[in-house]
Amino acid sequence: MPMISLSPIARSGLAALLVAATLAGCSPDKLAGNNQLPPDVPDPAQTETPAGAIAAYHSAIVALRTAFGSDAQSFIPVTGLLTDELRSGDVGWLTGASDAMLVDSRFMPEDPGIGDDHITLFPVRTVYGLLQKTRGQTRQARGALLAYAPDSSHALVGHLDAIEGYTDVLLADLFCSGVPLSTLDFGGDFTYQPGSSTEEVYEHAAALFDSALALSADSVNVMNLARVGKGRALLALGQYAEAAQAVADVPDDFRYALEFSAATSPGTTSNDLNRSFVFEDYGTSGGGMPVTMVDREGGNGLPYLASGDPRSAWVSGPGNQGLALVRPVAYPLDGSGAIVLASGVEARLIQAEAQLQASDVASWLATLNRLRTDGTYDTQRNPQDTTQTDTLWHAGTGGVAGLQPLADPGTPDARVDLLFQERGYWLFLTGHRQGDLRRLVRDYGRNPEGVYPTGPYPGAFNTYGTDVTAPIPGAERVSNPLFTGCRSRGA
Amino acid sequence: MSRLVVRICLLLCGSVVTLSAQNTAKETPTIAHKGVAAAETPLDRRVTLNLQGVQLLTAVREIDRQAGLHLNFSERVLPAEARITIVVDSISARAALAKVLKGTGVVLRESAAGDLMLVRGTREAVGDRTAEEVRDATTVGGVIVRVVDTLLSNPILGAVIGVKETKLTAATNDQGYALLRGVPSGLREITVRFLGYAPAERQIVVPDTGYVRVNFALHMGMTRLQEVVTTATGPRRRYELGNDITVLDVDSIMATQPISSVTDLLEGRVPGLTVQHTSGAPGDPSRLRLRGASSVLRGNDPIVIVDGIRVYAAQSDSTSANVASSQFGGFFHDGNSVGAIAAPSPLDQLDPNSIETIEVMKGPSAATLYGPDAANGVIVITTKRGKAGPARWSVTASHGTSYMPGQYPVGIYRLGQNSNGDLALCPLTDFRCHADSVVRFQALNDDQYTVLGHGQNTNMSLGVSGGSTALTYALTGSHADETGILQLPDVEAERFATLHGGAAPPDWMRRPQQLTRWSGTSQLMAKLGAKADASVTTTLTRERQQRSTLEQQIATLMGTYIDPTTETYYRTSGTFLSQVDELLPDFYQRATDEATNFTNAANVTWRPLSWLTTNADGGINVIGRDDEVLLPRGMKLSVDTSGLLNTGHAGSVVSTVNLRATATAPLPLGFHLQIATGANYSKTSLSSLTTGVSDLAPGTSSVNGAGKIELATQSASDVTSFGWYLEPSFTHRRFTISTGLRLDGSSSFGSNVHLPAFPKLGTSWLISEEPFFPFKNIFDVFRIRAAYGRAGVWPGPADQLRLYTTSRPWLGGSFQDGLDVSSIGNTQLRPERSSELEGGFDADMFGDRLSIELSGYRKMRYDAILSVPVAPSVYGYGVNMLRNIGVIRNTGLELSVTTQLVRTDLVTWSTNFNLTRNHNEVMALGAGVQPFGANDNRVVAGYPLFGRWARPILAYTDVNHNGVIERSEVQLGDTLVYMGASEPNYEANLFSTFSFLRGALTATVGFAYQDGLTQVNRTIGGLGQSIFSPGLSDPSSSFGEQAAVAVMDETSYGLLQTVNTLRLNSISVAFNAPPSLARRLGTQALSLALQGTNVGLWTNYAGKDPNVNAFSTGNAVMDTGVLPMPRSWQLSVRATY
Repeated sequence: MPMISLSPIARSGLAALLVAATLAGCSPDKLAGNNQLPPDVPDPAQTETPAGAIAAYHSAIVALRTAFGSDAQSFIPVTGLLTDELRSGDVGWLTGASDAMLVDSRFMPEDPGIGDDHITLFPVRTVYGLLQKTRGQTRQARGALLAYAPDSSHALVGHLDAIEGYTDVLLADLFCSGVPLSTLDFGGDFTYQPGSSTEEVYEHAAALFDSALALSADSVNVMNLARVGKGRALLALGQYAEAAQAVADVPDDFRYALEFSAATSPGTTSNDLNRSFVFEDYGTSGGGMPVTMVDREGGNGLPYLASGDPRSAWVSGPGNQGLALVRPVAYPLDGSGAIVLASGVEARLIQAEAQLQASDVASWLATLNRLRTDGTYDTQRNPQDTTQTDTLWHAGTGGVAGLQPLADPGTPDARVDLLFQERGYWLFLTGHRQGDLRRLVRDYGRNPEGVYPTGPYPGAFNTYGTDVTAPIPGAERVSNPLFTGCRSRGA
Repeated sequence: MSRLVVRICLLLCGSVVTLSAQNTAKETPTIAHKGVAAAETPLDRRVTLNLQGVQLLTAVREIDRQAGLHLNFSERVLPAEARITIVVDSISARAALAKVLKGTGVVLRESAAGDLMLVRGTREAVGDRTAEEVRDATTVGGVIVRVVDTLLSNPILGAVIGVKETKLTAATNDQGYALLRGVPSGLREITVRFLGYAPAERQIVVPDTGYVRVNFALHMGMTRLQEVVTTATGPRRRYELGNDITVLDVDSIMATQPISSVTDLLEGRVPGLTVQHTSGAPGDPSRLRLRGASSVLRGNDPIVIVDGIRVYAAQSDSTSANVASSQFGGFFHDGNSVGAIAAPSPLDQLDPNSIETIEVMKGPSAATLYGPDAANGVIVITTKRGKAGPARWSVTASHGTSYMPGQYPVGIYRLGQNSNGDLALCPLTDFRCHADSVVRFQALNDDQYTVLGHGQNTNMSLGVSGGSTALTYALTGSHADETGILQLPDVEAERFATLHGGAAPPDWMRRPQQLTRWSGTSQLMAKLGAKADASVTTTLTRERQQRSTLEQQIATLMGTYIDPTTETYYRTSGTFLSQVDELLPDFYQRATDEATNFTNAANVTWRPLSWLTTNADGGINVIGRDDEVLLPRGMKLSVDTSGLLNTGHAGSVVSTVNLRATATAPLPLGFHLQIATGANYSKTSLSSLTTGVSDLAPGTSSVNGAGKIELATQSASDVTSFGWYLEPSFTHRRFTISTGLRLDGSSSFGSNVHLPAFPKLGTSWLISEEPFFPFKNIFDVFRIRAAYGRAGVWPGPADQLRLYTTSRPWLGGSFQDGLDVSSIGNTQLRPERSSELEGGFDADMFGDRLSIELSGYRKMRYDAILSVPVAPSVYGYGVNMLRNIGVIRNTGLELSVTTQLVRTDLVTWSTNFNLTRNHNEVMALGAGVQPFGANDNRVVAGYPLFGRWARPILAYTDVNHNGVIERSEVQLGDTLVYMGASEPNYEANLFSTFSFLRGALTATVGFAYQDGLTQVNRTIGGLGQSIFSPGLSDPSSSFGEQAAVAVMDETSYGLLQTVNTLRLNSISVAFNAPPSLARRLGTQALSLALQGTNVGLWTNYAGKDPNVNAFSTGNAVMDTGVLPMPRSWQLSVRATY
C-alpha cells in the first residue's frame, strides 16, 4: 500500500477534521443516557398522584401518633417523667444517672451546640425530632394534596392543619421559649426559622386551628378536633373566655383518639410503627425507657396510686432490677388501644377554667361535677386483658364508679388546685400535665418548686433540679444558623 | 587517555573485554583449563622464570614463549604500569600465569577449539549465544555484546548498541545479546542505551577478522525521564509531561521485597500516597488517598485502569463491607464503631505477579483527560507483555508465618468487694467499695487464654511468556493461601465439646481467618501487518475470605480478668465487674466473602499513515460477590439455638470503550505538533441483594426450610459517563507545551446538572540541554515542569431529588399506604469541581548517582458535596441534605531522592527516599452551612477536613482534698477545640538496597515514617473498658489521668493523641545464584530470599498501633486498638527457565 504523503498544513487540516468529527453531534449528556434513576430508587414521579398524596396524609397522622405516644421516648412518657405522672424505673449506675432519670429529676442542661449534640438527653432529642418530623410531614402532605388531589382535599388539608396545630401545642408545652418552626417546602428545599417564643408558638397553633376550622366544614370530627385544639392553645395564652368559646360547640362525647395496634405491618417484622409505648418495656431493660407510675412524686405530685381514683387505675408487677413496675391499666400490655388527644371532657374542663376565671364558681363546680357524675368508663374493652379499662369517657351513662361530687374548697387558690387536680386525673397520661404545670407557674403565679416534683431525688442526684422545660437540642443550634438557643428556660 | 579508561573500568565496570581469534570462546574459572587430564596440554608444560621488576606484559610473553601457548590477547588488557617479580622453577605454565595475573582481573580462557586468550573479568559466560549468533560471528566478524542489569543480572531486552563514529546499531534480544557486524577494526567505542538505565560506553579493540565480545552491566537509572508512560491520550515520554507521574517497575520490586498485593506495591513507593489499613485480618482492604482527602460524598478513592479499561476498585464505598454482615447488627470490633466487617479490596484481587508496571497520577493536573471522576487520581496498571523468543518460564513460591508483635495494653483492676460480698471493680471515686488490691492483667498476653496465635501464608506463581514476532504471549497463574493469627483457645474448644456432646468445634471456629486466592492472567499481542497490532488481556481471580466472631472476642478478652487462683472469669463493662461462665461469649458466627473478578480488555492500534495513529480500547470488568453470615443451628447453646443466615450477593459491571486518534505534524522553527483526540465511555453498574433468615431447618445451612424470613434488601445503581477530549501538544527538542480540553456528560438525574469543560495545561523544559545551562558538570539532567488541570465530580444519580419511602402502617382499623420523605433533596446541587496546579523539577547529578525530584502542588476542590445534617426543626432527626459546602484545599510537597552512592561490580548501594508533606484545609463552608460532624470527624472552615475536636479539660482541683479527682472537680470547656488532623501531615519512606557480588546477594530494608495523625485511641476509652486508663483505678495515677476518666463520657479529649511512627516496614535478604550455579540447577536465574514485613514499630502512641482504622467504609478513621497488622516472615524462591 503506497504511503499517503500530506503536507504539514494538510495534516493539520485533517487533524482538525478529526476533531470536528468527534465533536459533531456529541452531546455528552445524551450519549451518557441522562435521566435514569437507579433501579432501587423509587421514582418520585410515581408518588405525584392522588394516591401518593393520600399516603403522605396517612404518614402525617402516623407521625403525630408516633410523636405523641408510640415511641418509647415520645411526648407522653417524657412529659410524664418531667411532671409527677411517671418516674424513671432506672437505678442508674455508679458514675451517673440515666437520661430518663435526668429528665425525671428535672436536670436537663441546654447543649451549647458545639458538637454532635451530646449534652441533650436522648429522650428530649427523640421527642423533639418526632414532633418536628410531624410538622414537616404535614407540610409535605399538604403540598401533595393541593398539587395532586385538589378536588378532594379540603377536609384532609384541614385535618393536617389541625395536626400541625397540635404539634405546635405539644412543642410549646414541653420545650423552652424559642422553638424554631422551620419549614419543609413542598416543591423546594426548606427554610430555616429562628426560635419562636412560647406565646408565638401557641399563636401559630391557634392560627392553624382556625385554618382547619375553615377547611373542614364537612368533617365534624376534624372540626371538633380543631375546636379543642384551639381552646387548648388559647388557654395556654391565658385567653380563657376565647378558649371556652372555641370549645363551646364540642359535644360531651366527642373524642379524638389516636388508635394503636399490636399488629405487624405487612412486609416488616416490627410493630413499632403501630403500637403505643409499652410500660412492660420497663421490665426488659433495653426495650425502651423504663418508666413507672408514682405516688406524690417529689412531694408535690398527685397521689395517683394512693387516691384509688379510677381515672389513674393501675396494676403492679415485677420490674427491672428488682424494682416494682406500676402500670396504668389504660395502657395495655401489647401496645394496642387508644390515647385520647382531644375530647369533650377536655372541652368541658376548658369551659370550667374559663368559668373559674370569670369567678362563676357555681358553674365551674357544676361543670366539674357533671363529668364525675354523669358519665362513665367502659371496662374490659379487651377481653384478653382483664386488667385493661377504657380510657374513654362516655357521657350520660351514670356516674363514674368511685367518683363523688366535688365540694367548693372555698378559696381561689384551692379552687385552682382542685381544677388542676381534676385536669390531672381526667387527662392523666394524655400529654396535658406538663402544659398545666407550666400554666400554673406562668399564668397562676405559682412557684415552680411548688408544682413540679422537688426535694430529694433517689439515685445519683441528691435533689431534683430546677428545670420546668426541656431545652431545644444542640443539633438545632449546630445546623440552623438562625437559631441561637432558648430564649428562656422558665415556664 | 585509553589507559585512564582502562583503569576506571577496572575500578567500576569490571567488564569483560575479549580479543579472540577465530572461534568461539568458553569461560573458564580464573585460570582455567579445559578439563583434559589424560593428555598434556600446552598449559601443563613446565616453565622456569627469574624476572625482577619487569612489566607484566614481559612476564606473560616469557611464559607464552617457554610453553608455546600462542596466547591471544591485547596489550591493553594488561595493566601497563604493573610490574612484577617472579622466581619459579619448573612449574606449569598454568600456575605461572596464575601467579603473574593474580589480582589484575585478567583471566585465561580457552576456546572450544583449544585457543588460549587473556581476557579481563571473571564471571560472564560466553556460551549463552544462540547458534545463529555464533555462526554469524565466526563467519562475518564483528562485536558480540551482552547486556544485563547490575541488580539482578537479568538480561536486558531491547538495549540499543551503537559504535561511535559509525552508523552501526543493533538491539539486544531477550537473552541480552546483540551482534554488530562489519565493525571497522581498531580501537572503537561501544555505547549502550536503554530506557530506565544509565547509559554506558566502553572502548574495545576490534580485530580485523573474527569477533570481539563485550559485556555490559547497566545500572538502573533514577529519574527515568526517557521512560514511556501511559497517559489518557496514549504513550508519552516522561520528559514531555508537565506533571509528575510515579512509575513502578513491578518485577524489580518483587524481586527484592515482600509483596503480596497491589497495595503492598504502592505503599511507601508513591510520594503523596497515604495508605490506611482497616485491620490486620487477611485480605482486609486498605484505603488509598492521593494528595489528601478532598471529597466526602463521592469518595476519595482513585480510579484504576488496567490495560486501558476501567475496573471497579472502590475501597471505601458501601460494597467495601461484607454485604451480608451488616444485617445482624454487624460484626463489631469494639461493640459500637463498626457496622460491618470489611471485604477484600477489588484492587488487591489483581495479581501483582501479572503486572509489568504501575503508573500513578495523583490529581487533576495529570488526570484531567481521564474523565470526571479522576480528580482523586488515577492508577494505571499494565500487565506483563510477552517477548518474542522461546518460552521463558518463571516460578515464584513463598511460605511464611505471621504473628502479633509485642504485648497488648495491660488492664488495671482495683479489686474489692461490693455490698453482696462479690468481687468488684473499685474505681478510685467509689468510696463505698472496699478495695483490697490492685492487679494488672491482660488475657491476650497469656498463652493459655489468648486468641492470638501464629498464622501462615503460602504464595505460588507460575508465568510463561514468549512468542514470535507476529504473536507474543504472557500467561501468569497464582495461588495465595493465608491463615490469620486468630485461633480458638483450647479451653474454649473443650467447653464447646462439652456443650456439644463431645464434638470438636469445626475448623472454621478453630482457625477462622482464612484467605484463598486463585488468579490467572493472559496477555496476547498480535501484529496485524506492518501498521496494526492488537492485544487482548484476560484476568480471572477467585477469592474467598473467611472470618468469625472470634475476632470480636479480642476486645472481650481485653476486658476480661481471670482470677489466677480459681481461674474464674470476670468481665468488665464500664466500671462493673461481672463473673461469667465462659471465657468467650461468641465465636459461633462465621462470615465469608467469595468474589470472582473477571476482566477482559482488548486494544487495537492502527497506524494508517506515518503521522497518524488510531487506537481503540474496549473491555469489561465484572465482579461477583457472594457473601454470607452464618450462625449454624445448635452451635450457640447458651442463647440462640435456631440459627441465623444472611446471604448477600453484590456485583459490579464496568464497561469501557475508548477511541483515540493522534496526528503529528512538523511546524516551523523546529516545533512539532501532536494532536490527540478521543472519547471515553464507561458504565458502572452496582447491585446488591441481601436476604436474612432465622430458625434454620435442622441440619441445614441454607435458606431452604428456614422458619422465618428476617429481611430482604436490594440496591442497585447505574452510572454512565461519556466524554471527549482534545489535546494539542507543541514540542521542541527540549521544550514541550501541552494543552487539553475535556467535556463530559453523565447519567446524573435531575435538573440542570452540567459539568463545564475541563482544561489542562502542562509544560516541560529540559533546561540542562540548553547551551547556556551553566552547571553541566554537576547536572546530567535538569528539567523544570509545571502543570495545571481541572476535573469534576458528578453528584449521585438521584442526589438532587426529594425521595420517599413507603410504609404500610396500621391506621383506622386497617393497613394503609404511607409515604414519608426519605431524602429531602437539593434543587440547587452542583457538581464538584477540582483543580490542581503543580510544579517542580527533576535532576540527575554526579553521573547519575543522585537523582532528585521535587514537586509542589495546590489542589482545590470547589463546591465540595457533603451530606450536611439538616436541623431537626425541618423534618426531625436523621435528615441530611447534600450540599455544596464550600472549598477544600490540599497543598503539599513531594520530594523523591534516589542515590547510588556505591556502584561497583562487587557492591551496589542504592537508596530511594521520598517525603510528602500535605496540608489539608477546609477553606470555606457554603453559605448557611455551619460547622458539622461528629467531634472525631468534624468539618470546620479553617481546619482540616474530618478534624478531631473535643471539649477541653480546662482545670481540675481536688477541692475536697480526698486525694481523688471526681467529676465535680473537673472544669470542662463548653467550646470545642481543635485537636489535630485525621490524616498525617508528613510521611516519609525509605528503601535501601545493598547488592553484593554483582547482585549475588541483596539486602533491602524499607522504613516508613508518619507524623501528624491525631488518632482516636479507643483502647483507652472506647471499648467500654476504662480499665486501661490509669485514672480509673490506679491509686498512683496523676490527677490529670483521673480527670480524663471523670469526663470520659462527655469528651474524647483524653482519647486523642497526635502520633508519630517509624516503622521498619520490610526487610529482605536475597541470594541470587550465579548464572553458572543457576544453570547447574536447571534454571536461568534463581534466587532465594528471606523477607519480613512490619518488622519494627517505634512510636509515641499509647495504643497498640495507630495505623488501624476499623471502618471499612466511608472516610472515618479510628483506632479500635484491637487487631493491627501482624508481623510476618517468609521464605521466597524465584526461578526463571
